[in-house]
Amino acid sequence: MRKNTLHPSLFLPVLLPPAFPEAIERFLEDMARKGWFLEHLSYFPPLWRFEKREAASARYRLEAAPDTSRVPPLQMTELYAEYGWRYVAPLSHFFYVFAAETADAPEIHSDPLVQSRAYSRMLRSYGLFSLAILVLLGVFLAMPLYRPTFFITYPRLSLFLIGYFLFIAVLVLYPFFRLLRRKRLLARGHSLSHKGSYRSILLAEILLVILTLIFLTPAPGKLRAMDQENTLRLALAEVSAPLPYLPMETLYSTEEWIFPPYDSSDEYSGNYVTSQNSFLAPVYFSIHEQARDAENTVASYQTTFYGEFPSGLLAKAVSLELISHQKDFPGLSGKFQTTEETYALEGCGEARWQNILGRQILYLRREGRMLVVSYEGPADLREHIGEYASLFDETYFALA
Amino acid sequence: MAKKSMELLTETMFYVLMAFLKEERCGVDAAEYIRQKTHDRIQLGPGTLYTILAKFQEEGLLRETSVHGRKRTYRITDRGRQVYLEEVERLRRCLLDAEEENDSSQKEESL
Repeated sequence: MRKNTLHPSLFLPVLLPPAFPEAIERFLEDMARKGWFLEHLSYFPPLWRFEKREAASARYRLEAAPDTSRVPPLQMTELYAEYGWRYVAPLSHFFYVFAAETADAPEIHSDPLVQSRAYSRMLRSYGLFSLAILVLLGVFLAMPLYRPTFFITYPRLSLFLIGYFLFIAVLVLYPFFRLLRRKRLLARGHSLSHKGSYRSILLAEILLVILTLIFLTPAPGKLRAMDQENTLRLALAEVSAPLPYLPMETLYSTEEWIFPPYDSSDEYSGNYVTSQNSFLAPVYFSIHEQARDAENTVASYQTTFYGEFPSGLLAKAVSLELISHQKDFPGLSGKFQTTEETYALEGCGEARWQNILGRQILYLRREGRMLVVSYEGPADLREHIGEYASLFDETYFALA
Repeated sequence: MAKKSMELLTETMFYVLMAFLKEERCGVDAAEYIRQKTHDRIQLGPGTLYTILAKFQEEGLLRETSVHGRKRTYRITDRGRQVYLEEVERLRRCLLDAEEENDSSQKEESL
């Protein structure tokens, strides 16, 4: 029996995942040879506590947990102790660490088929754990499906996020399949190796930590800023190139209306155009007009044009998102009155008009092009649908 | 139809059932009995022994009868005895088939 005396302790941040039991066993044995014996470990934070004692060639084994309990059954620890194996600590919810500090303790498992049964139970809980994480990751990975406009507006940031989450998904799946392979080896009657290398695993884990730190640091913010740099904003009066919109004056007489000039220092200022060139939406325009009459009635008018999408499917996904987004405006109650009409226009895959609390929204889609008009004022957009559809006949280029 | 590998008794499982046929024992005594019976050929490790005892209790082949400190004693159940006898019969038939095959091979060689 071990003496209950005070020993110097060492806390090490160890990043060895439970999917590599043989590497962890080797690491603990190497530490014991240096006189450091594992006493406690935790994964969150990943700090393992070692006690300094006389160096010895101890053996460590990771035993598959029969259920998700963090504490092994008493019968288990007592029986193992009879054979010289001391229970040390749980390793996550999937393994228990046992140590034998004498050479005459027999190997824990003498029948691989029986050991494969213990692995099966552990794999069941590990599989459920992996599935839960993958479902959470799926929410992020499916982002281009339900937020295609974000993906188009911030392509670099989106690719970084998707790459990162895919990397995490691989890191979740790989250990599961690795443990499954070990279980199959056992089921075929092969004994498991206890001599795994841990240095390459530690390096990979450190790389993951670095990537995580990058993820948490301003790098995503910088990518977002780079994406935003692709967007050019100019006063509408300064642009002479043809723009994919119908000026407000073509909707109705604007002689009595005042169009305040664009003021770049005022974030609420109107009468400007933004243009963006991203690889998913090579020609993007957002044109904002704002006018005021003598009675100070404000007419606001915004036309958004997505041009030359690589596929009609992407255009359809964007239109679905925009329509769904507008339906949610200005709240989720759904109690406000909405009027909706759809039209069959030649050459247009989609033509839809909505009136939500006095704001008219018009969606037109032709192949890889999409036009969304949002307007609040005295005109009726339905009277100009043909003119909007003819905007698709022109060719537009992103502003330089 | 052949049973799946884990539904069959492994050699170790078979000997564990055998160890409890005549008397109640604790796990360590059963392992010692098997070691002696097989002339050191099968030496059970604690992990194998614990997994088999837990599985047999779960399936109703063994039953825990008493606990004295660390010592837990088990007894074979009627179902455990039946499973053991079925396995003996299966092995006996395997052996007979093998001997029959061996005899016919020897006769062919002598002809």
